[in-house]
Amino acid sequence: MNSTETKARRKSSSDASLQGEPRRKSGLLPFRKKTVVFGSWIWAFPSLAAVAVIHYYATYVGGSYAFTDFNGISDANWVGLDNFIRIGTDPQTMGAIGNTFFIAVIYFIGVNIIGLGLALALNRGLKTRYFLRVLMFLPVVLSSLAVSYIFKFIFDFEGPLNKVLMALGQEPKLWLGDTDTAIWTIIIVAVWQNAGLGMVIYLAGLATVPPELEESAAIDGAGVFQRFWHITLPMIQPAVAITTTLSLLTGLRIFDQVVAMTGGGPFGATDTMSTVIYRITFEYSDFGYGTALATVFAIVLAFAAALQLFITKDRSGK
Amino acid sequence: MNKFQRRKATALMATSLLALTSLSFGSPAQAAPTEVSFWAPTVLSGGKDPYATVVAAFNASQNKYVVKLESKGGAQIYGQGLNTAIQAKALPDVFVVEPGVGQLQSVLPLADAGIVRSLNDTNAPKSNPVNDRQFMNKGPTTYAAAFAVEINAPVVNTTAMKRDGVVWPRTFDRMLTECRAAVARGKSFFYLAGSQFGNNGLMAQMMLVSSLYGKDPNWNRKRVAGTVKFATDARWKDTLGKVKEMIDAGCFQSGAQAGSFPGITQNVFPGRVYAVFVPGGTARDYRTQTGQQFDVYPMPMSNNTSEQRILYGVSYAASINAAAKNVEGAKAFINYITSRVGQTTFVAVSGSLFTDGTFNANRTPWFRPVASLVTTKKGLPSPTRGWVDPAVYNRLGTGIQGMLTGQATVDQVLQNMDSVWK
Amino acid sequence: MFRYTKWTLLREVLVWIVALFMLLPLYLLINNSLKDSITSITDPLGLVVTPDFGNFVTVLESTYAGSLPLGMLNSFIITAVGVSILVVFGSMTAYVLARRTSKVSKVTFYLILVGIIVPAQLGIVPIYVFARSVGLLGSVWGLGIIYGMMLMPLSVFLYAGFVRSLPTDYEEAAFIDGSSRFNTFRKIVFPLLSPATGTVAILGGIIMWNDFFTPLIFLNNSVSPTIALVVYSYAANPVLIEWNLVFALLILAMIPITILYLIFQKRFIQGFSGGIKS
Repeated sequence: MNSTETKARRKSSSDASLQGEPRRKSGLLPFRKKTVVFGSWIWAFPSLAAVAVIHYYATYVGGSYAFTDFNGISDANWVGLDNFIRIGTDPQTMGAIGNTFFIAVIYFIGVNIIGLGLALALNRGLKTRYFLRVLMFLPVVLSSLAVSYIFKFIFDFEGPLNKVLMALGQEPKLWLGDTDTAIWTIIIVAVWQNAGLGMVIYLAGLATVPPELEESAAIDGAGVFQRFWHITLPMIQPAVAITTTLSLLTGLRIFDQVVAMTGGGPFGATDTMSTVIYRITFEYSDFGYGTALATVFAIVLAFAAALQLFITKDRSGK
Repeated sequence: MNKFQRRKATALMATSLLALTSLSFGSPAQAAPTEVSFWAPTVLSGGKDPYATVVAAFNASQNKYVVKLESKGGAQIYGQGLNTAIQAKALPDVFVVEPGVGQLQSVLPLADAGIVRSLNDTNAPKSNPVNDRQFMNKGPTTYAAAFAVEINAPVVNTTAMKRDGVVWPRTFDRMLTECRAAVARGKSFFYLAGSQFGNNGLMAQMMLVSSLYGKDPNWNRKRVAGTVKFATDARWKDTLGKVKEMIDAGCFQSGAQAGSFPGITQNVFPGRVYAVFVPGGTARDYRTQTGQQFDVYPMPMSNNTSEQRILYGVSYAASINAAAKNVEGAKAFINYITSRVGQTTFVAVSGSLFTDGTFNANRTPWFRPVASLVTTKKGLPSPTRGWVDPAVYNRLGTGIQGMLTGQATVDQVLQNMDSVWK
Repeated sequence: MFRYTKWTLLREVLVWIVALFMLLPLYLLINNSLKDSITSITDPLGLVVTPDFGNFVTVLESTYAGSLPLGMLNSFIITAVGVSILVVFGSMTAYVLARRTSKVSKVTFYLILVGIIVPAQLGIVPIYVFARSVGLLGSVWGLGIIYGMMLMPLSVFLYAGFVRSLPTDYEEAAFIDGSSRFNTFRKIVFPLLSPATGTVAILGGIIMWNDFFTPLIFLNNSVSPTIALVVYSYAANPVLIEWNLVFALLILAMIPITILYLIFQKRFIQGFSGGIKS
């Protein structure tokens, strides 16, 4: 009772202080005490309802399926934590979790390093830099499924990659069928397609770095690397934050490439959380176990995103 | 889309009936044929679709009903489309199902959930093969009507085999010898699409029918009761152990773990391999496509030929939607496909056999090498029809792929299967 | 002043080499789509000798996996519906939340943002069940609506950042003049938001156009596939894979988005990097 009163009072006072600004502006029109009202809550209602249903309610309902043995066609029975326990005891799932993190980390490194490298290379000076940027960004807008099929052809045992290797005197490899190399093919395809996205975001960030700053540092004797580390990098912090978080989330959720190229094989070597969840939920129609996996995975994603944002948070105190 | 077309057809029929009855004096009005919607997987056999052929024949044979066929993708994605339709309560009048349990398109779980209608008022209960009734009936009620009967055993390029002076091995040891001889010749005895768990699984079934289920037909029931397990069963270990022996003897093409479906025809047509693991009726297809002789041979699993069995059963059947709009039309279609006339049309394209077991080796010459097994009743239906969880079959198939890569042992594969058994 | 030295020339050449390397897969794609099935396997790298456009015709006429033109139409409908919902409702919501300064609107805004970080893609099963119970499953319009709902947080986020950077003078003047709030928004604010509208349309549009996972679940094998589903059904078909035909299909599937990209490439790139500003 007491605390709510205080809260209400605090709220109204803070509102009042915030409303102090418009009131000042309305000083232009001394006969109006009322301030401008922007829109109406009704306008926001459809979106809010949509978000509430799709992102909150549906997740809640789905979460509850995780505690049942729903199989899509007959009634669901409560099974408690069985599905969650199964996650830990199922070698296929544990393997997929490992693959997912491995892919995400390498993909993350690839997209960011290559993206940043391309951005630095195409930032200034090159005559064809605008044309090259357009070219490098093209793969991003293509369908990842289509891109994956192109690479499936390339990595095929009788495909061009092996033909080139044989022409160079090397042994042809079973890229898609070898448990060691298969996972790298997935990563290569994903990085190939998305490096351009990293490049574009880093370019936008680099555009905010005034060249005079770097030049004066160069005059002062700072080396290329020092200039980059101490001047450029801190100034593109927002770009770093966005690209790293985006690439981490994308890497964790890789699905299309696996489906098109390896189907999760060989022997589960390229199964990711997304493909396993899809297979269990929609190919086996085991909704209970599938939603349990999806719930755990969603928590992992949220955690990873929060962690990444925290690490790349703006610390310059600007 | 279907619903709209159906409503349109019904509306048209209704108005035309009204118009005609109001105008006619005594002469009966001819109603327009009513539509029956039918879903089937996409099957191309010799460039023709057996389902489309039998549908066309049915439509031509009468004018009360018109069956409209929709091909919903290959066998592996058909089930998912069906499942989505079940969820959306948008099933057609008639659709193709598989006998037994364990797949999305398996009929028994659908029967349990009340999604399919009883077929006891059609010819189906009488025409379904006896051995398969356990997988299509619940108690006294029949829920699925078989189109035909399939034999599933290795399909062999006999022309290529004879050209190299090879005789089909009748014992397991003899087969290993032939495998090694093929390798010495720069070829491979089998082509296995190791990246597809379905192909590995089909091969496993062709082997298990002799090495396990022929000796113990009730094994699945024991597994359900929990008195046996995959990992501790001597015959399971023996069968997968034989797979390992085959791998070691070079029976499969190098890089088999990445073998694909297109590779099957790419290798068996020119005779780079002799045998592949595809449904028996495909032999007819291959004959038509290449002009070479393709036959179906039994998969040898022991050195005692009396233990030889063969996979013989229903692969696809039709069920009626419990909420079907056109029940009479659906029943008429079912009666047609279970009749001799309907089946003749179907098997002429699919290369399968009649459900009543009549076997004419002259009509289906590719089955000659297995004819004696069929007539001496050594045929058994697919063992996986009794596996409830599709994950088990998937683990079997991917486990064999693991064995091909050298990553998995027999015990690991079997334990993997046990861990998902429900 | 920036000098173009020989180091710069070297850098340019190096980048070009990298670029050509990166674009090699696209060369393979186009090159092999014009070959017959045998040459595409035996000599994938060589430049095609006698270009054969027949593959494109074959693929267009094929009904094996659903027709590509139908897939394009469906993809177009879905994307149009989805983008409309995102633009109309996202802008209005962002306007309300960004202009108002109460705690409630702040909290609501953050609650919506959570939806971006844990995107609905992962809650796909409950959404699937929800769509099933509401009857939106298997329908193209339904999928468009679902996309609009799923991507709404992204749209609100992008619009809100832009709205905040707009000064309130125009709206106040309109308010004084007695304009209704909706008219103010429609005639004054929304046109000013057009850069954000472009970003939302492009980002959301690309996601919806190329998406494979969601249509796979919602439209799986129904009478109305999207482009992604047609490509998948064709290329994943176990028996038929002939690379030259698959590539012809892929090129046809990629043409719409590529043409749009080449025309609007500046806007595309701006759209993706627009997120930086907020």
